[in-house]
Amino acid sequence: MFDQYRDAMTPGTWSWFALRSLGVLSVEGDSKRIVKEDARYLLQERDYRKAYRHLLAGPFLLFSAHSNDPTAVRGLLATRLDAPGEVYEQLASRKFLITSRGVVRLATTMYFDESNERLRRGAGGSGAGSPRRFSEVLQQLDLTYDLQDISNERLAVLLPREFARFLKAST
Amino acid sequence: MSVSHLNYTGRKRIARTSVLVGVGGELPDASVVASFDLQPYDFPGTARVVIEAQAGWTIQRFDFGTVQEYRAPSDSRLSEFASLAGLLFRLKVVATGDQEGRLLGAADRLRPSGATEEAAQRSFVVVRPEDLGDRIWQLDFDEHQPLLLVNSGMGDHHEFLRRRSVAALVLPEVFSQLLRHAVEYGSEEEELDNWRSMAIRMGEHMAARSLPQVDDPEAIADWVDDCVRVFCRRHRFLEAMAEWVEGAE
Repeated sequence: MFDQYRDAMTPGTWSWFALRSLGVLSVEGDSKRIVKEDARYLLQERDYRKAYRHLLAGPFLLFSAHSNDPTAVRGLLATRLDAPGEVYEQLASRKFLITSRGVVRLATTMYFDESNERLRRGAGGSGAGSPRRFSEVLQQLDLTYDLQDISNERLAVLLPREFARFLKAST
Repeated sequence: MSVSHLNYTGRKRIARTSVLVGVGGELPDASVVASFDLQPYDFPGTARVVIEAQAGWTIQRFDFGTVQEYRAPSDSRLSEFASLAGLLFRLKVVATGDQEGRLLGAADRLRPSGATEEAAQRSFVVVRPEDLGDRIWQLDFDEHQPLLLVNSGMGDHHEFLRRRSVAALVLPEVFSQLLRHAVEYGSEEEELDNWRSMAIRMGEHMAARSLPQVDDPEAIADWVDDCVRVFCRRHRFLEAMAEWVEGAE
């Protein structure tokens, strides 16, 4: 089903949806309307560096890429639609990461609290064990491991100690 | 000054000459075909050989057996792709057993063999026909390479760009956009054959000076202008346009 929608949705259609939904996609906090950069609303399909930033198309394509195991991406999509959050931004900006089932599953395991259905504390930061560090470590691991096919369990073993608190919190 | 690459990973770089990968047929039945010679690299016989096809948002993997036993995938169709524009391949040799998942060797950014685009063989810009409505050309940027799209209504896109008058009008702006994009996004990779690095080196050669290292938009814009100016002079674009105008009158 998602393949059909993915192929049918043109950049113009995605952009139209985003602009049509501007009331939702530009509201932040205390109803102060903030319109973000163009790439958030106007899909620039061929430039991946901007395409993933589209507030609607980006999450949809992420979800459809993992439609056979949608719970794997819960941690990346557990934020407000108008504020994707660090877990999404750090992983979606790297195509080779976002297409790896093991990577997204591990990100969800570490940063998403299933019992409270929200991101764990610290999942938005930039310090040790953060999504930003996770992305940096994965880029190094990509030089020596086949991240496209790796399991989340195997990947967890390869992570340095700074991720211990998130890995422990997930057990 | 030569630059040496330091490899701390133990991963072997597989030469492009060791791999032949291409596309058979057309969408929706286009398939990957591949052959490779991995004997010189001394990989364990049980290591898996995988080829990844990548274009735009999409990555699709194909299992080609092991180093000691080649086995074409049961389904080699590029079924995940709506378009093959900008398609690149990556070959990976992956350990099994105790070292499961470890990359033993890789060949990156392999273009399909037999690509007909002359530009792809000579430069890092891939030229493709595309339905652009009434727009004649457009420069897009895939994650790996620039794509020069030429309106499919112009017929043979190579022939179209070969006309000096067309080149004079199109290529300076293409070059300018390439340089500005290369400068803005830099290079995330250490490899010197990244297209952004190549574009900047080309510009530095044209302008006979290095890219300004300061974060000064005006200085960078001046540098880009210098590069394009020399580019136009070398190709004698003014002369080409004057000839075309004279012929048209």
